[in-house]
Amino acid sequence: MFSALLSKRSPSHYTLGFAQIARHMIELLVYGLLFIGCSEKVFYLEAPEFHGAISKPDPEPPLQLLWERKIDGPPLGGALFAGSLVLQLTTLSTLHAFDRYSGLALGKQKCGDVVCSAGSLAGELYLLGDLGDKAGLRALDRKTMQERWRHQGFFCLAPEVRGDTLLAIDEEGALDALDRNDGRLLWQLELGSKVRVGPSLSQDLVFAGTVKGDLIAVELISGAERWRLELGESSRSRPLIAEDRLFVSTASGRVVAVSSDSGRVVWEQFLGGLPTEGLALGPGVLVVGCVDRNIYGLDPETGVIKWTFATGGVVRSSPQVTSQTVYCASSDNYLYALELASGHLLWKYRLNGPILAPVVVADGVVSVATEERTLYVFGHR
Amino acid sequence: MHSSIFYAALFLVLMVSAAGGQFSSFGKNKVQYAEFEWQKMESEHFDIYFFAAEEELATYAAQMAERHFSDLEKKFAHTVQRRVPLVIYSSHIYFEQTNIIPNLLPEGVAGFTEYLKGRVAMPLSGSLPDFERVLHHELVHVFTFDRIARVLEQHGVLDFRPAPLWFSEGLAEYWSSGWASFGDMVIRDALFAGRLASIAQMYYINGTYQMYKEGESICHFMADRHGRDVFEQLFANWWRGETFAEIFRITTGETLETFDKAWQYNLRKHYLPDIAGSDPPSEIATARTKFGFNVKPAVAPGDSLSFYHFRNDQGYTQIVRSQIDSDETITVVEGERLPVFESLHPLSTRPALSPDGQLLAFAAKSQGRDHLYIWDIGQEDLMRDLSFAEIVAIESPSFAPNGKELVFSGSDKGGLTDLYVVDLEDARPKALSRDLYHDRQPDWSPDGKRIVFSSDRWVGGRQGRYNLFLYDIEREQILTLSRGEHNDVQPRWSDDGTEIVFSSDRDTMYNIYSVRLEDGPEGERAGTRRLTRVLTGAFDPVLMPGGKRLLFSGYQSGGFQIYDLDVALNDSSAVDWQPIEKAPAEPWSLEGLSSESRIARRPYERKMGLDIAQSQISQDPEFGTSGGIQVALSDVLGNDQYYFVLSHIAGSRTGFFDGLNVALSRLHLGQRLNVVWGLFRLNDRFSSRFGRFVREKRSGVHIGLSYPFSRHDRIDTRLSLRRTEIDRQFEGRKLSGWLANNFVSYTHDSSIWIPTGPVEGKRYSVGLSQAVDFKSSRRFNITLFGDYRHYFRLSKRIALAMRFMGRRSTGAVAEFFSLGGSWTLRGYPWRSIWGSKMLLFNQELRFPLVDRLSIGFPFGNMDFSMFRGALFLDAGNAWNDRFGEWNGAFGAGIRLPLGGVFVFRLDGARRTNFKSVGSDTHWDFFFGWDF
Repeated sequence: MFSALLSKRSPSHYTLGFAQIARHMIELLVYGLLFIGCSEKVFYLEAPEFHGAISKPDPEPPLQLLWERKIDGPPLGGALFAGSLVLQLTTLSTLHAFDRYSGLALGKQKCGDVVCSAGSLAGELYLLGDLGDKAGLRALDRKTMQERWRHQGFFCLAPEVRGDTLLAIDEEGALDALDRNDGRLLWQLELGSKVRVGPSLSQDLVFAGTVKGDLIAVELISGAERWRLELGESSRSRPLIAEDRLFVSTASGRVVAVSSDSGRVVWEQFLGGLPTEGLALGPGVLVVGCVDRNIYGLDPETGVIKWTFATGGVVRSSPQVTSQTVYCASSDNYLYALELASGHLLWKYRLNGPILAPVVVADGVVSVATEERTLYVFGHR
Repeated sequence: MHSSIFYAALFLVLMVSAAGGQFSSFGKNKVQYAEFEWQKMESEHFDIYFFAAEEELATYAAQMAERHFSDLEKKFAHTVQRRVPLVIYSSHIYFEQTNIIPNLLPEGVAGFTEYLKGRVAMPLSGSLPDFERVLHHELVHVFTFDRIARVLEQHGVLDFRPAPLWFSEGLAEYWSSGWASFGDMVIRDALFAGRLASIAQMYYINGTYQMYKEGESICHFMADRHGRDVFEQLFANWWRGETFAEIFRITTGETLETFDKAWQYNLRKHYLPDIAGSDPPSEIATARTKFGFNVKPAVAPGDSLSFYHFRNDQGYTQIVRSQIDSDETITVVEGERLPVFESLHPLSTRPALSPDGQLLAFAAKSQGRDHLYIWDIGQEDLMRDLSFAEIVAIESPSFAPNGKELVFSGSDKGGLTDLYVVDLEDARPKALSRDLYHDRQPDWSPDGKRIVFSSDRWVGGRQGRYNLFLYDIEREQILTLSRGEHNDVQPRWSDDGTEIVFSSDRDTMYNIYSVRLEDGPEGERAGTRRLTRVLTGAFDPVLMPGGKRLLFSGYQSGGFQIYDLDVALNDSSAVDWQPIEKAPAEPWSLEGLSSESRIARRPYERKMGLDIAQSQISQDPEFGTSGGIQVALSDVLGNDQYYFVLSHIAGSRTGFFDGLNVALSRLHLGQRLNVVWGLFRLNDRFSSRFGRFVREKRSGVHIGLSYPFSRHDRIDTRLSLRRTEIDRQFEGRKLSGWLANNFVSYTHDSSIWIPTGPVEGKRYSVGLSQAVDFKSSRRFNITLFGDYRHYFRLSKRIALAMRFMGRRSTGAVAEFFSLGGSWTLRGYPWRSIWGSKMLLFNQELRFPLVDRLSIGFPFGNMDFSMFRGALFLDAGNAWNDRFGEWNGAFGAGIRLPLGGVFVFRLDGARRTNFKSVGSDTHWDFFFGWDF
């Protein structure tokens, strides 16, 4: 009954009546008492088929605060939307689950000893990196949260998945292709240097950047290196793939567009410092946040800076875009909505603390969590 | 045995430690010579505290602070959310008065960041670019601390894991300035002298300039090897390791040991080839000094047999006269022992001789400002003492050829440094320039027409680089003498006025150059030629009469000595000619630096903020459990401080109120007369100092005054009124009454310390106290006390310490004094000899035993440094009516500093009555400094 309730996904469920909330709470309590018998509530993650699909129209500003909830620590990565659930991992290794519509706290669970990576969903698995006694990439069953398999290493960068193949980077510098079902190692490539950002996947290639400054393209099937480009300094953003090119950025603030087929540099642009780990691409604009307090809109064809938006603080939170809007946040405590084409401010909202975790746009809502241990979800009622 | 809470409360009431030595038995004083009307300026991230004379400096500081805040946001990829208090002083002399931290600040401290309130305090040393660099350096500390704290908090790590000092200071240097010649000098010298400390051995040089430069070098190498974002990543991973080595390995994938070796190898590869083209000073010149620290030679015209210079070989700086061809040295001025020459500033100023060689001019600090002193060499006495109302700091005087005028570099109350000329007859200084440029090290030409000086009054000066300039006295015009992206400093004329010798880092290392002035086809020109190729730095050049020999200060093996070198000034090879032209009036300005920071001004409000709050519970097998809290509050400037202790003896059989201990003290330190007052109610059971059980209740108020005459001398007085109930069970009597206690004492302390205790100088305290029943006006007792300690440095590392102490208390209820134990009479049990009168003599020879000791354990090595030994002879007695006989002891001991007051002391002593010697060896063990 409980799982059925949580997996229930109805467009009409933007609000819950008091009776429904009360019923949910009673059911949760009963469930917890009967099956867990401890203070921590448990929950099932949403069914796999709903993962990642943005089924709602883009949220356009001005937005309304739908709900805000306290979490037990600063956020580790952005929120995950899984059907009617919103999941937020914290630096204290706790996974919080909330009802996506009401914000009702459905439970929280310790999901590792020392979790170091943002969690990600892959089919029926929930993946996260753990630095505990047996450091490794852990694959948890979404329904039971029991560990299915563990791949040893230091995996503090969220993996990528294509079909049954899972690509994970050990921060010591190994790119591992694993069988998603059992964690079996399919192939491994030593990248030759430590790594500070996760890999990206195109149709047949995996891209990874290293601390030494190499950007490497690897064939997904075989693990053979296709090309290697020397960027000269540490790669600090997860490669963003768009058709025939990919965009990466480096530690000093250089944004580089590279031909994904050949590894040839198409253009490069210099920003004022370390960029955000995540770059965002909208129609005609590549959006990058930067520690120089600015959000930059670049022409993806030429690299020319089309616009700059100055926030009041260091920008570490990766921006997100919809077809017309940039959502970004800063350590000045604000969540901003900018016009994608011009960078003009459309809307802003002051939160209770600095924002370092990525902004998430999913399922018609915008979510962001602050360092003051609060998760916010914005949308339209 | 006191319960610890009671002890803490008692300590607060009676011995609250103020800045420096005030309100405690010994210690030097932090004197508030100047009182300031503080104001506050608010920028986006900073609260800047300043006084009226430095408003322009404060505005500049606000702009620079915001600029560097923004820079460090990028470097750390982090922002500091709290407002940062920044307290600025227009002079180091004012800075030394700060009460933000209790420590006395040496002249080498250019600023500090304290972590209780996150305050940054710093002075202007004359150079605005240097001020900016120091500000940048301190802000790196602010960011480092905040970033680490935030990361640990984010990941639920409760214990703070501070960065190793070499790393935090090295990173602050690395991120606040480019690698400079002084870094090359220190690292190169350390390499060639075999004194380079590896990362594992960095504690050997902890806190030294070498540590700063090695740390900076390590950070450069770290960025080269692992990318410039390695520091941002180190801080991001700070929660993942318990030690820096672990964090480093996690971040870089390399062990710190491997990195350490690679860094040292890289240094050798970089620096060792340098020896092919240059040499240490001792290889090219003759050392004219051998011991201690010797700098800033000065030569009298016509005297080629001797020179004057600063020397510090035993802790105090002196001006001495040394012979060229012998080791004979005569001390001319003894500095830093008396208020009159409190500091001779050997690093920043130089002495000068009058043209007739009879007078010596030098600047020294006294009574809160620098004075210009004229010393009569023949009479061996001070001839003139000049101080100027508007000038706070004075450097580098130089006589005019008429011997009646002097030029010097002076800093006003706002911190601006300009050249001044003063006529010795009217003693009124006249400013030659009034601007923001740092004009320094002037030297008057032999013909009296020009003054050469070093200054940042050129475009590159904005980056803190100095060139040479000439001041034409007749035309009142400044001319550019040298040009280039380097530092030309310490110019000195030859006695015929045709050459100027100076030190320059134009070839990366400071070496001596000369510049010849002559008329060329297109006007007057200056031809520069290099005179030395020293590997590790040459400074303070001065030509001997005749111009064929050069004296200079050379850096080698971590120290400075004065060297003598034959030079050929008429050698015309490799001369670089440049025209002498009028200097631009305003090569750079502060206006161009304005940021868009919103700056608001507010009056300073003395808001109290928390310094320390801690709770404590103690268990005692005899007295049971007690617990309590201690709280310390102060304002931003540290001028007003509150201490509060509340405790309760949980095991007391008496009621709740009876078991309560409360003490509140307030200190006012913002004026020269320091005041402490407070209330207390103390109630406890303890073993008395003679091992007997005592109950005592005290309630009352106290007020104390402390007036420092100088850094070394002060007078203290204190009055307390209290209700006392003492149950002396061992005497079978109870005492109670309303008591008034007061004392007055005079204290002097000019001692110089090493980590185990004093080794040179003296300190003494004499005083009188009494206790009176103020209801009946009956005097309980009157006590006279004296304590004299003298330390003689027998060599650089060996000292003889002597102490003479006496106390006498008379009256109906006399005070008792005790002897015995490690701190008084060794070889006798702790406080085993007691009476109302006491005499004690100690003599102790202090010497080094083992400099470095490394003990291997399965978990790693533990390293200790500076084991010292002692041979001692003690004699003393305490008595009531009849003296009895002297109790004596002699023996030996070891000392091991473990940090701060924790000096491990172990003494083995044989007793003697000076007629026979006991056969047993008695051991005393203690943690504390030597007397």
